[in-house]
Parts: sequence; structure tokens; C-alpha cells
Amino acid sequence: MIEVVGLTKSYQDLVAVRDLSFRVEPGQVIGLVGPNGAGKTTTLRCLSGILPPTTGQVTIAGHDITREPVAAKKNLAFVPDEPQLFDYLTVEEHLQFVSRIYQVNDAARLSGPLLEELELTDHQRKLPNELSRGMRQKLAIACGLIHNPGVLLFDEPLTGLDPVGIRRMKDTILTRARNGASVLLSSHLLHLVEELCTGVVIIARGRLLAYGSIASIVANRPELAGMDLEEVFLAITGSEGSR
Amino acid sequence: MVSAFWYLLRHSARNRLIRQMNRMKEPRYAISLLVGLTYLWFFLFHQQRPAPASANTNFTRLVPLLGSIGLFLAVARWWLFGGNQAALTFTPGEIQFLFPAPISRHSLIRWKLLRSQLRILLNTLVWIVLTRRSRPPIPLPLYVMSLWVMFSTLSMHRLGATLVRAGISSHWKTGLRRQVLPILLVGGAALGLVLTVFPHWLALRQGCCGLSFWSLLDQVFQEPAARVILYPFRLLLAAVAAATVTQWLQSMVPALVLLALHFLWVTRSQAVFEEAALRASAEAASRMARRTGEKGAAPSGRRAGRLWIRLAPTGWPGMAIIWKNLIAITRGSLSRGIIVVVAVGVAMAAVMSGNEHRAGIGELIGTAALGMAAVLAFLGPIWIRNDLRGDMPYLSLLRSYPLRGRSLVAAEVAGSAITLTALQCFLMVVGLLGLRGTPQVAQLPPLSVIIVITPIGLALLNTIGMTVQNAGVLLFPAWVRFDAVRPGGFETMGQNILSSIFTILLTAISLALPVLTGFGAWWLLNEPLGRWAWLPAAGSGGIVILLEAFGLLTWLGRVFDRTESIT
Repeated sequence: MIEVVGLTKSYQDLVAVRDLSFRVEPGQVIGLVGPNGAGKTTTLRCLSGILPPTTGQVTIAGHDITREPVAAKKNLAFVPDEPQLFDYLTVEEHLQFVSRIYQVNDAARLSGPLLEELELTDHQRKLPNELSRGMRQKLAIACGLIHNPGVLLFDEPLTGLDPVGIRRMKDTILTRARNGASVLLSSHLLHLVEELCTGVVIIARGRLLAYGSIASIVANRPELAGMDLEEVFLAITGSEGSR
Repeated sequence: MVSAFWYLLRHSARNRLIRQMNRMKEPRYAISLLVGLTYLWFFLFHQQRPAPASANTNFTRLVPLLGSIGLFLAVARWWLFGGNQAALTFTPGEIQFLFPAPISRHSLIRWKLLRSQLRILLNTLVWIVLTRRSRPPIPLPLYVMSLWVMFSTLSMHRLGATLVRAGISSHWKTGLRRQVLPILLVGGAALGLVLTVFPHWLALRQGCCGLSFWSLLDQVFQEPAARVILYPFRLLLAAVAAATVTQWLQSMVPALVLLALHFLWVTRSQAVFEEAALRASAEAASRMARRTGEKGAAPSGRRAGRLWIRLAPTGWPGMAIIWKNLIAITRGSLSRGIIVVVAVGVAMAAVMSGNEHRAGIGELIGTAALGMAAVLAFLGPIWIRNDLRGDMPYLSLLRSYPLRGRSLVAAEVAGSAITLTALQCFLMVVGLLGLRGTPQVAQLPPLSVIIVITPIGLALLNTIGMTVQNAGVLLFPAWVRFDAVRPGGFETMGQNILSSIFTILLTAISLALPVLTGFGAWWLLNEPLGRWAWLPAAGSGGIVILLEAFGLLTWLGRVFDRTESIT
């Protein structure tokens, strides 16, 4: 489970995220959406322990990310929008490396099906520079999934994937959620969010504008009745932007 | 079209200069610039240089010949082995805007020539400064022009060779047909020189290292074929070395003709070079991206070797970092440097084993190997950088791992320290082999003590050295050169000087207490234990180093946990 309470992240004078609170329960897939510069990536980086929150509390699987970073991080995976891979490790070596970092006892048993699921089996001996952009993204995802985390954070997970890869990625996310993982993904592809997610967190300029299922958001704002997520998003962020 | 190119060149240079000047508002860059310029000033203008050697007149007489042979070898390398893809490198912006634009290939080549002028002018300036005490007594402008003509001709030749190779690789048959004349010329020249030297090869080898070698070499290259082949290179050098204005004029006219011919050749080249240029540019961009840690680096065609150490999935997680960094050393450019050191060591050992009766050689090699090991104790931590200096571009990834900062920093330090220690131990073995039986060895502690203490001592020493280097990365990221590209120029030179001074100083300070402790123990125990007093001395010093390293790593771990970015 992910629990965010009053998260604020400042860089000197700039407040990137302001007093953000939401929860992602096990089995839920929540979409984090917002215009460019809204603070989505900063939020995900705070949740993954990469950036320390300025104030507020982030709890991952019952562990405070600031006070118990190691325990919290063991339960989560963060897949950034641009895959960060080590130049000198092959695909299989990346999985070995991550398995040791996360202490995955049965890594040998898990890695085969995972590589198969992500269509990387034929590329095991390749270095990242021999992989296409999509394959690199898949490898980053595989590294995030090898330890079977309870919390999954994705930043634009479908960037660079081909249609088959997108379909498989959707299945992967949904399968993990069905198995009890809490998934938070940020994306500009609103139709994807609408298709995959059980709820959304809409932010702009670092502030929370709406949170919940699309139905509940629309129910709270009668003027949005009958709109799809794209129209809801434009209506909410547009009115915010004009303020 | 030239006006557009000129506009691009002028405004790019101006904006780069403005950006660098703006950086000077920050004290760290201003100080770095000052240090860099001061260093350059002292290096160029205040350093006492030895008087030009005049004793070996035979050698001095051969300088133009050796220069022309050197130029020929450089040119032959461009033709035969390539390796000059940089000549075809375009920036991503140039590829984006110039390649799809309605611009002919000839115009693109002219743009490359125009852009190369900046580098040529800089080379000319550097050469003028470097040779200011020994340059020929002709007016400076004439000397400048000679240098400019030489560098420009060489630059054009390099570009021309690259274009020919690109044309051949892109369109094998038609490319070969178009470029048949230059290929025949270079191939013929190389063959001619080989055929000239070959009959005298044995004589040259036997006369090696003595005066007769140079005399013989001079004679060999006076043969007609060699004189003809080296004529263009002598021509370029003759203008640079002209002692009088008359000599300069006589040599400059043909040099200018040579330059004009090169210009015509390059600008009228029909080579289809776009594909090779894109490949070279992608390679350059990929290298840059890897250094800066930028994501999405383009493929470079580098393949992974066989996995040599398997990593167990459980155990101390930091071992994964050490394992990763050791693999990176075997697959990265550092491995080439290490291979050279090891190869030199092996060659030394081979010489010693085959020449036991020549004790002098063994002693010399042994001393050299031990000297290299000692030098590595100070320069090794600067040279071997497979630690946080290479991994900081992956900061966000590292911070997402479930590792305490202390474990992570310790693992990063350990990877480099292990590599350096292994290398030094190897050199120590070579050194001891070389010095066996000599009086110097008799002065050393017993061999068993050396075998036990040396690796441990070196490992501890290197741990401190590497810890200090990594501390620099974490504490002063803007002052340390990562395996990332920093803006070039004098300020970078200054930054490197400052960071090197600080790290060497800090290492020395860190080692002061352990050395004092060790020396104290040795002084106390020397009388009762004799040569064995080294053991407790090294042990007590080692314990102090361990404590220091533990404290430093704990503190740096906390710093790492607070580090959000490297800028």
C-alpha cells in the first residue's frame, strides 16, 4: 500500500509539490496525471525514496520511506520514463545484479519467465547499447519486477514500446495489481489511464486538484457529468491554469 | 550558403563564450579559471627549459626526416586503419538541420572545413607558444602562415581520407572506382617505403640504439624512392623550418600549391559520406551520453564478453555493486590501461626469467616495477575511477535501491580499491622477482611478512585513497570530474588541478596518523623483535586506517543519503 500525507517538496524557492495526500490500496492502479511541470515525476521520486520530502509522510507497505528507507524500498519498484541501465552489464547480468540488491532467493527460477513475459529471452547476452529503446524500457521494467514488489511506481511506462509491447505491458500491470500490488503510474496518455486505472490523482503546479475514481470525481462536480477522462482533465486543469 | 554557415559559426562561438563568462559569476569557476590560467602561464612562460640539445648533431640533422616519416605514418594510418571518424562527426543539431536541408554534399564539406579552422588556429597558437624559444629566425607572421598551411593541409588530408573510406564502405564498387587514384597513390607510397626499408631492416636492427642507426637511417631515406614519397611531407615541414625569408618563399610556394590541391580534392569529392557521418556522429553522441550518464545512449556495437564471475542472489547487497564495477573494468576502456600495465609486467618477468645471468636487467626491471607500484599508490586512486565517480550519473537509480548509504559508498570504494590492490600486488611480485638475490632485498622484511602484509597494507592504503576521492565527489560534486563531460577550457584544467591537489593532500593527512602509529610501534618493538617488528607496526597502522575508513565511510554514507543531485 502507498500512503501519502501532506507531501511537500521544495527546491530552494520553488515548491514542486505542495501538500499532496492520497492512498493507493493493494490491487488498485492509480493514474497520476497533470500537465507538463505539474510535479508528477517529483512526486514519484519522493515516493521511491530518491528525493527526501521536505515535509509530509510517505509510507510504503507500512514503512516510512524517510525513517525506514531500506525496508520501504525492498517493497517497491520505480521504473523511470527513461530507462537507466548500466552500460557494461548484459540483460541477464542486470537481473543478477538487481536480484542480489533485493536479495531474491529464487532469482534463477523467476528470471526466465520474466524475460519471456517481456520478450527479452533472445537478448539475454546483449548490452544495453545493443538494445532498442523499447527493449531497454522492457529491461528496466524487468529489473523492477524481479523481486515481486508490493508497490509499483511507473513514470510513463509505455514510452518507446511498440503496440505488442504496450499490450503486454498493460497485461503485466494489471496482473501485478490483481496479485495484490499497489500501482501508481504517471502518464500523459489519458486513454491508457482511463483503461487501466481504478482511480486518478490529478495535479497541477504541485497541488492536488482531484483524487478518486473518475465516477467519484464527476459526482463531486456536476458540471463534469458525461465527460470522459480527457475532458475532465482539461476542464479541471484548464480552470486551474486560468487562475 | 556560406553566409549561413558563417552566421552559425560566429553566433555559436559568441554564445559559448557568453555562457562561459556567465559561469565566472560563480566563485568556484572563477577560481578554477584563475588557477588554470596561472598554471598555463607558468608552464609556458616561466618554466626553465633546458637549452636545445646540440651534442648529437647526427640526430638533430635527422629531425626533418623523422618529422616527415612521422607525418607519413599518421597519414598512412588514416588511410589504412581509419580511426579518424571524428573528421566526419557532425553535431546532432547539424544533422537535424543541415542534412535534410537543400544543401549539396560539397557545401557540407565546406562547412566541415570552415569549422575545423577554429581547431587549426588554436593548434597554430599552441605551437607558436611551445616553440617560442626554438622557432626559426623569420618574422612571426611568416612562421604563423607556415604552421597554418601545414595544419590545414593535414586536416584536409584527414578529411579527404575519411571521405574516401566512407565512400568505399557505403558503395563498395562505385566508391572504389571513384577513389581509385588516391588509393593507388597511398598504397603505392606505403609499398615503396616498405620496399626501401626492407633490404636494410637487419642492418637497421643491428645498429639500433647507437649512432650508426641514425646514420644508416639517413642513408636509407636518401634513396630516390623514399625521397619522392616523403617529398610532400618534407615540403610542409620545410616551410615551417625555413631559416631565412628566401628559404621560406622557396618552400612556401609549393606548400601552398599542395594546400590548394587538397582543397580542390576535398571540396570536389564525390564520396557518399552521409551514412558514415551519421554512424560516426552517433558513436560520438553515445560516448558523450555514456560519460554524462545521459539516458538513451545510441548503440556503439560493443559486445559483452563471457561472464567471468557469477553473483549469488543472496548475501551482502553491496557485493552487487562491487561485482558490477569489476565487470565494468573488464569491459571498459580502463581495462586497456590495466592490460598495458600487466603486459609490461609480464614482459619484465619474461626478460628476467630468460636473463638470469644479467643481474643488472633484473634489478632495473624490479626497481621499475616496484616504482610503478609505489606511484600507483598515489596516482592509482585518480586513475581508477570505477566507483562513485562513474556511478554518480546513476544517482537516482542508486538511491532507489534498498541499501544504506554507508553500504553503498563502501561497496563503490571497495571495487576500485580491489582493482588497484591487485594491480599493485602483481607489480610487487614482478619487482621482488627482479630484485631477488640483490642487497636491496636483504634490507626488506622476511618474504613471508611481505606476502602477508603487502596485500593487506596496500588494500588499506588504497581504501583510504579511494575514500578520499569519493568524498570529493559527494562533498564537492561541482569540483570533481566525474566520468562526465564538463565544459572544457582553462577552468576545467584549473578544476582538475585543484581537485587533484586537495585529494592528494587529504590522503596524506589521512595517512599521517596510521603512519605515526605504525612507526611508533616499530620503534618500540624493533629491538626485541628485529625484522619481525614490521608485523605489529603494520598491524597497528592498519587498525588505525580501518578505524579512519570506517568513520569516513559512515559519514559519507550519510552525505550520500542526503544527496539529491550532482549539479
